[in-house]
Amino acid sequence: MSEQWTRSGTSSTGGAAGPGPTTGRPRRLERSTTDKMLAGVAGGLGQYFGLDPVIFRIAFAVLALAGGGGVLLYALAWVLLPVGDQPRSTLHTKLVERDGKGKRVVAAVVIVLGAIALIGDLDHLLFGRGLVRFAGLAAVVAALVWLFNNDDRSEADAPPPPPPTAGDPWPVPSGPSSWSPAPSGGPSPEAPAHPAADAGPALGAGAGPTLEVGPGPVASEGVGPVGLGGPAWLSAGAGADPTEPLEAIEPAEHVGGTPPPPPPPGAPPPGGRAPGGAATRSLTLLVISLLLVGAGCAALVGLHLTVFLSLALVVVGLALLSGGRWGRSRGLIPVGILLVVALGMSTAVNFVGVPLRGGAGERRWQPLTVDELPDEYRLGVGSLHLDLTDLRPGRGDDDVEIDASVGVGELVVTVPPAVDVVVEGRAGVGELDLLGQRRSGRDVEQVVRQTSSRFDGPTFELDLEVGMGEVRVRRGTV
Amino acid sequence: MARSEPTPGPPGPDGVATVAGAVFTVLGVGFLLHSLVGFKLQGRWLWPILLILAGLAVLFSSRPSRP
Repeated sequence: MSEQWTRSGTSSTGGAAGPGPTTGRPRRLERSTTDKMLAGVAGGLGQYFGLDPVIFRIAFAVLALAGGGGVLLYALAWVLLPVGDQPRSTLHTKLVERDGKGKRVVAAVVIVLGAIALIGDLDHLLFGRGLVRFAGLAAVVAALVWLFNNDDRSEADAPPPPPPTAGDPWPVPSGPSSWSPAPSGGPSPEAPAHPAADAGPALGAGAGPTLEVGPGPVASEGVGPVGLGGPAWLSAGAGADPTEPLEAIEPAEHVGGTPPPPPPPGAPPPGGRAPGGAATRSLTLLVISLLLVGAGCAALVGLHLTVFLSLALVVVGLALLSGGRWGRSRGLIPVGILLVVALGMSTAVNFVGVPLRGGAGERRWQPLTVDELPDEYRLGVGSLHLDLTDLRPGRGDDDVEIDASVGVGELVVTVPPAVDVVVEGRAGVGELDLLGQRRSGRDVEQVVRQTSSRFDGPTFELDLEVGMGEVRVRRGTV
Repeated sequence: MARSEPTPGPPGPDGVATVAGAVFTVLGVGFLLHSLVGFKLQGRWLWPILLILAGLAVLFSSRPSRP
């Protein structure tokens, strides 16, 4: 966020700053502190684009009357645009930099909304919907007011950063504003030209015991205080006038491979890898291994796939809950998402009445005699091919009954070329192609009868269904 | 004068993992009940419960950490 602030400021330096009090600072889209009727959104837009803010106010009003979009846009701009010389938006300040308070407020709002929705039916029975909606709206408004009503107080109440001690040559700035680099373009009353100006007196030019800036013995070597381990933006270079304000340098720029500035409190350590990464990978691998072993055991004991997936999802959830307390266990989140997707498919298939049993993969059966026919053919996910071409029942045999289903995938049955066939096909979502007659859609059912004048034997009765996918029945060749 | 690298402290609670864990656990239990006892998963009951649990998880994970 701080880099965005600097980049945007740098890129627009020298551009049209537009009218208003922000002249002299890099042009930035922000809420105005001077030209405001409500939150300064229209005023900020006017200053940014060099237009009359009334135009934007009228636009917001028209959009608000035409469906309410103006209210939403204004509210979004309110929380997303920074105000005045503050480097970050109110939302970012509240949610990220307030030591968890914003998160707790948002959590409270979420809980209230959930509770309201949960008791919605009860309230509907007792009072009607109106009270619930009013209560929900009031709760949201109250939470937002609580969340955003102390902009200035939060800044003013922030305790001053402690002065660095002589034994601490790299004092960590405290507070959000002290960490963010200032926009380039020179100092201004609104924006300090250097983050050190916020960080306490010791960080000023020549004021600190170790962070001296200027043509001193360290700076004259072209290393500056960075050579002592300080941040790059503290370097003024050789020959710099100690009386001149320092120029801000982008955080990404480092001198001579010197280390980057210290991370703000709470940020992950350099390298982008949080502590506990190895533990996370180990935990992820362990859970995945357990899931694979469990899948094998479930297949052995004939456990229903949905039950196994549900148990696996519970295990992943509990592992995330426990892992989230002591470290990072986010590696399990993709596993959980995959399980949820699989469960959703399983539930959808079960919803249309097709069992998701029989495993997964591609299966081919080619029975040669009627005695080899099992009671049913089942496949959970995949492709099932049943080739009955070589099945030649005798004239006095009973009818051949085939019961087959595929949860998700395709079911292909090939019948002998000259037999009487009755096919009853169903597809929850998908397509039926029964001996050339096609039908597709949702909850598709079709019955097809074909008789052969050349055959005087038992009839092939096929009961075929697929949850999601395709059923195809075709005649084989001689 | 070499400056020693700052040693990272123990990681704090991971809110994202906690929220995801709560959501996955509830969904898993719901699907399990649906499979075993025919409990009907209905969105009008499920998503408020998920909201409440997600909020509780965020509350739990955003407790001020010990100094």
